Amino acid sequence: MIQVLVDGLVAASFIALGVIGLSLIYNILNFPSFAHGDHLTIGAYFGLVVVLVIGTAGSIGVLTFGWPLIVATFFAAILTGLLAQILDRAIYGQLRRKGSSRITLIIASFGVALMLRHIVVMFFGPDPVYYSFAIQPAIRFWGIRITPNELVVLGVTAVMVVGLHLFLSRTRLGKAMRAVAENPSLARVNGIDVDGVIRWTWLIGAGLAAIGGVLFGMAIGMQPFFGFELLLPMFAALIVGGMTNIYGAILGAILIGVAESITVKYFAAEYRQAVSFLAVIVVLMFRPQGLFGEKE
Amino acid sequence: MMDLFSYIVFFLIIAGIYSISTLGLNLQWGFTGLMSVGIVGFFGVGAYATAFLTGPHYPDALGGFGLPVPVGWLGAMLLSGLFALIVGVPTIRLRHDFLAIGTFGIAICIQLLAMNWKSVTRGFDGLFGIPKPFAGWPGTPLGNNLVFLGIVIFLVGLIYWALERMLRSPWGRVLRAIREDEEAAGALGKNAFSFRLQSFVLGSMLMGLSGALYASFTGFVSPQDMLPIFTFQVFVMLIVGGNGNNKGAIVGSLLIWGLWTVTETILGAILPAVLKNQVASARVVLVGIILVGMLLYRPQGLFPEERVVSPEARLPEK
Amino acid sequence: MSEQLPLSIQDVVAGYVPGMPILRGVSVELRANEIVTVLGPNGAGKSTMIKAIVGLVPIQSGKVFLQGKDITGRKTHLLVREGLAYVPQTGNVFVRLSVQENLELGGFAAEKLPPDRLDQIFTLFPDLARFRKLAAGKLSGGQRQMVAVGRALMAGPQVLMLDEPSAGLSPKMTEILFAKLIEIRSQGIGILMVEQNAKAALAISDRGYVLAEGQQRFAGAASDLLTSPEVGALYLGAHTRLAS
Repeated sequence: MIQVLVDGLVAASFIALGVIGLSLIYNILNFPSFAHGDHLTIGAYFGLVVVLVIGTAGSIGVLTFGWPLIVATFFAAILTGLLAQILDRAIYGQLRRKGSSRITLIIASFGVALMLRHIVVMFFGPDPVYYSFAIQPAIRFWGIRITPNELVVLGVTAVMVVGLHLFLSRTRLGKAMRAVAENPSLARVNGIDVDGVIRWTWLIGAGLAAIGGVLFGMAIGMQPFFGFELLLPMFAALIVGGMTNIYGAILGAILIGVAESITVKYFAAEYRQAVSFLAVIVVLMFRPQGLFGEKE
Repeated sequence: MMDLFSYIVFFLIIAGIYSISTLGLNLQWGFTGLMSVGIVGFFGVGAYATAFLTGPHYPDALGGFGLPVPVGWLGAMLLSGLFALIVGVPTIRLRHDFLAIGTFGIAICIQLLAMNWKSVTRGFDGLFGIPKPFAGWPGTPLGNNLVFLGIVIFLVGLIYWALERMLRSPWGRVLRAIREDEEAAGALGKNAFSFRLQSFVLGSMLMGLSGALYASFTGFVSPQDMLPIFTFQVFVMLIVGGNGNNKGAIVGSLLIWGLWTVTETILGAILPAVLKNQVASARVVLVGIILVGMLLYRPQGLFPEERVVSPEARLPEK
Repeated sequence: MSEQLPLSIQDVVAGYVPGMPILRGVSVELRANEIVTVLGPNGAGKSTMIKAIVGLVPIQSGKVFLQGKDITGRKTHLLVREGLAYVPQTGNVFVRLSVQENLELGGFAAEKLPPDRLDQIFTLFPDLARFRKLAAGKLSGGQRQMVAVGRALMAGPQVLMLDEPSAGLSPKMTEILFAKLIEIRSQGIGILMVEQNAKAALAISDRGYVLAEGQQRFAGAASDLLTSPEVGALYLGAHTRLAS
């Protein structure tokens, strides 16, 4: 039972690192970005490029990676964040300025998603790839089986979530982001540079997604569609948490992750994504403001 | 010469099948402002329903009803409509985002079912032997394809005519009023919800019909026919043709399907040899650039929406 | 000399659609240590005027000067730093942020914030100190208006602009708020406000303007406007607070 919970938390980590950016983008730019799953993919593959350049993912103790992958994570986050900014400048920002509808932005993001995915296929092919082929035995304690790599996933995610909380509640930029998310025109009147906040939103949102992507690649391995397959769970987490509540979205990620691992363990692994769809339908049916959201 | 003619017939059938989905999306998005990101899901439901209802007896899957093809197509539309209700009822009364996410989700679930519910769908092996209407008549494959093309053209024409009539009716006028103003539509309350739902379900049934025609034409359906790329193609077809314009939806389908088929040849010729295996992906990127370019520089498409005033729409004079 | 005035707008034509201006050539001056009220029936262009000054509505012609500096068409978020603060009529607090966070945001644009600025605001509005940790959305309408004004003052403006500050407030609350405005003026901050509640607003104002159909109808000392029969006929007698 506790094993299911642990597996669920590992699955939730990737969803959580993705949903943070999805939530920031949804609230600050006012559209659900269908390209966000592919930011994880792009991040993982940027990491792969760095690992290939260095020649090895290295190793530290029982981990199947070392400083090369740590460097790769750093580069992946920066490059994915910059790519997201470029896409905003070239596409989404232009559409915003033309006063395009939210539907147009959704369609544009869907198109961007397919393009990013297929650019990855062009360069790396459709088959799975790994940072390292080293085999890692699981460790056991309190009746739990977990690999050291998975422990790193949990640890990094926890640090990122706490860091995000401190960022949003303590820093100037974090507060400015919350202000823009709630009321962009009032934020502007207050002297907040909304365009600057938008640039940071892409950098942080896509950067965290890239870190999630590298962690996924490190713990599970990657293929060009893995990020896309995480998109529905991310949307489900966002809806379960109540679209405007970023902490709710993170809790939603945990719920979805655990629900997925229960499905995998007791029902059928193939249908794990269906859990997310059921969660979306049930929540929207009975509590559209989400489990942790307030009624507007 | 005959080969080219056969190819054109084949090309027109597929483009016609696409255009039925595009007309469905136009009803939803163009007329009503509803966004479906799961077009392929309803297409897939239609294809599988046709296989179940009209196909042969499969020892290891659902089927063997042997119903006439038109009954299969009607069943396909009804089942697609049912799936549309599942996702539409909880999401359409909320903001647009939720319908987009919900339809995206249901399309993924439908594909999961097609892949994994093997006792019904045979998984990746797919369902084969789905009969064509007037199979074997008038003797040659080309002749039969011509008959099929005739059916497709008839159906596209019928749907076009019906949609144009509806657009000009009071019903269509309400849809456009709802589209123009999400807020005001909210004030209409339950009524607006019901109009939107009707439009969404009807559009999804057209997508189902296009899936049904596809299954009957190719005689085969598998999860490979249900990739998100289909949804993307239909988006591009409608945007290029002109969102809100039925003529545009049909022309856009022809153009983009044409582009899709010739780019394989063109990209194959211009890409360096090492990239030959990347042609399929390069094509997606190319069409993606067209999509984004249209959204940015000609969002109204080649055939912009026409201003339509229904005869009944005049305000009563005081 | 307009260059010396805290705020002056000259022949401003503004509107969202080119060729269809809502504001059709209006000039308004705010002199040192003044409260100036702009009155007018609904649709007269009062709110548009304020929004044009802060860059939320495009100015098609005319000029806006702040402390003698031309700020016409300047980006909205840069104006706070120049000393111009603005309190919108609706949606003027961040409801999900705490009172203190709302105030801190007001000070973001200031280049150097005096450390006691927050305390000054709390001295001016003692109620806010008690609710500092509370989400602003949980406050009453009057308290929210205090938060909004307090936030506008955080950056240390020379000019404070208010769009219908008394809208939705009880007469008692309006009286309290307007008393605070007099206190703010005494600190050397000029106030330009748009109001429907003409009598209460003119009572604390030095001068007033009356707009109608995007143009100026009357201008003068507040006391003159209050007693002017034309203004009364055009506006004061027929004033309604229902709309807007």
